[in-house]
Amino acid sequence: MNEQARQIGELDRVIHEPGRLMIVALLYAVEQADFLYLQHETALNKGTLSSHLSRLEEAGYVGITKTYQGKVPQTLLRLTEAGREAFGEYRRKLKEAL
Amino acid sequence: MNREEEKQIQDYLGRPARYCNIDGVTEISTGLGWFGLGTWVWIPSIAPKASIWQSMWILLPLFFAWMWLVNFGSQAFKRHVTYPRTGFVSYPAANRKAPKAGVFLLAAVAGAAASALVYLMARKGLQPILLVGGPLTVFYGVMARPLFAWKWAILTLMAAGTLGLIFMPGGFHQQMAVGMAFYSGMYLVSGLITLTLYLRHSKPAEQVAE
Repeated sequence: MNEQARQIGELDRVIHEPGRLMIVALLYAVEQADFLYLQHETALNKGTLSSHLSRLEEAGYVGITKTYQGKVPQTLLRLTEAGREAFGEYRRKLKEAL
Repeated sequence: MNREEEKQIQDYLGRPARYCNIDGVTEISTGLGWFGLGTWVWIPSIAPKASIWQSMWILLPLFFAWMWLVNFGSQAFKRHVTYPRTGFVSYPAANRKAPKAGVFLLAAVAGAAASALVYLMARKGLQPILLVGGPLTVFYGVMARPLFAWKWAILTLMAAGTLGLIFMPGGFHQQMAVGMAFYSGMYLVSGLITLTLYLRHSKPAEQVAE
């Protein structure tokens, strides 16, 4: 039990938060996606989603590119190499704790 | 708790793949593709012997043009309808890489084996449509299962139709054409229902923001 608690304690806190975990897992399966897609899939509001993305960007896990699709602004998001590695490590540790 | 979390992660990881057909366009494209192939098989069976419609030089370019049109149409739909409503996704390069020589070789071997099987089945009086219908039914089951419960009804109809087609009388071309029409029809019906539901339950992003 103590061992399990220790393993859970070792989980990456940035990814472990449910909202961010959802974002990272969704981005892990794609090359890139836009803000609208994440909003649609996570059902988070714009403010909450933006704040999670900022936190992930600060940690170096998510790359954010602002661009235009015709005249409409588009925010493209992708998981960085560090983000992919961190997510892989997170899952490995989670499985160990099972 | 952790087991549930892992299950949840698996669900998140599978969502982008399911998103590919959220608007039913994959099903509609597949249906239109098989409709084109069915027509391609059917036309020579009803055209007079000396007609230009017996020539592959006419039929093949028409078939490729049809497939190009289907592909172009589905991409345009995604760009103008799906992405503004529920967002844009691009899939990993590994999924889009051109097939390597080994894949072509494997496809050639599989094609040759399938042709031999079609020939043998035709000689035994069995309908080779099973070779097309079986994979198409399985593909539909894999693609449709996680999205809506009503798709199980379509899947059951497809499976029942496949069994019916095996014993259908008639010549090779006629059976293949009827089979293709059946499968393309099933895909089209399913795709159109999905599309209707999608349009009903989603709005362009500007309207959501307001």
